[in-house]
Amino acid sequence: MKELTTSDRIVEEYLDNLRDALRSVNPSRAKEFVAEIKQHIADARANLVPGDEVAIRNLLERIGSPIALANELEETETPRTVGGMDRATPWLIAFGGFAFGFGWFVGLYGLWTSKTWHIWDKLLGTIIWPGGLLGTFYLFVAFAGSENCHGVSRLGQVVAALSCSSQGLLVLPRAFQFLTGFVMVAAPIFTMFRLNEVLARGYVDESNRRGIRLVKSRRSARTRTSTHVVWIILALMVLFFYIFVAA
Amino acid sequence: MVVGGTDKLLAQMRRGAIEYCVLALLMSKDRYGFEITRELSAANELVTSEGTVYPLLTRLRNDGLVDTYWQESTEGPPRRYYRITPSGKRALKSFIDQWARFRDSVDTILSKER
Repeated sequence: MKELTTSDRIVEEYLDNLRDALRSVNPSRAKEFVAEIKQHIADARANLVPGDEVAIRNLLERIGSPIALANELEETETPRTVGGMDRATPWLIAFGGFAFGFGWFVGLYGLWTSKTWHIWDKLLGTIIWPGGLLGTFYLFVAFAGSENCHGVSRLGQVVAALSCSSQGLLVLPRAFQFLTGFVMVAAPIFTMFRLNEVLARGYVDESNRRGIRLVKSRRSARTRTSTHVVWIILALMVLFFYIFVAA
Repeated sequence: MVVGGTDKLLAQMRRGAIEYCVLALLMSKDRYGFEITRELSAANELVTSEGTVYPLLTRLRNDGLVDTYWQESTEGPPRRYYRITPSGKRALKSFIDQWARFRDSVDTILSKER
């Protein structure tokens, strides 16, 4: 293996710093950019006296500091155009159901035809809950249950309450009834916030198959982690809910 | 606007104008990245850091004003060449017309008020 000269090491260090500065940029774009800069350096070095350390440092200075280049790259990415439909979609998903159920379907169409949301967000918007908050209402009707008492009433007096039976959520402890009720209402609202959040912060980069590229990704690396945690908690609650209602 | 904002303004103007300078460079022949940056940095005040030309080339490509192809190089690995597209030519032509008028108007006012 060829031994690295001082100049090689300076270049390697520069490229490492550049990769580091580009961590917030879409990975495939960052890789392509580093390859371009690497090629640029190779082309420029062809005209330099080998081993001229000062010339190498001047060359890298002319190319620009890694931080400055990373900022430039972020600014150059074409921002996603947010259409009126994209803005309306999260609201339609949550409240559209109340417009004769029709609005929710319009929202669903907007959600699935938009390039703004990742597949997981589209599934989230569809599953929790079908119909949005109207879906919550139907879930209450379907699962809240009822208490049926069979008795014989005579002259306004209950002579004998022969049997009482509970169905649905009412068989569950009160605390759990409250919890499931809360989840049923909170979940579609969370979905709406989540869709709005992605809308507000995301760029969509066509070259990035996984979907969303984040604008201020240095900060949102943390945001993403916290979103994942919320996701997992929500998924567990929904799972819990279905298991108990089904049981 | 404050006078201290001149640097920022120039940076923005530079960024906007360079795109068309790149298109103009590609009118005569297809070029690879290093060639383009070398031509641009030979002109004074145009490029502050050469590396910033690459994001710009990507944007031109995304906007369909240039397209690219790879070509073998006699020295080293294959190179990505940039070629102006018909819509790039149209964009350049319209910029040249508007730029001339803009420059003349600004120059006229500035020379009057000096």
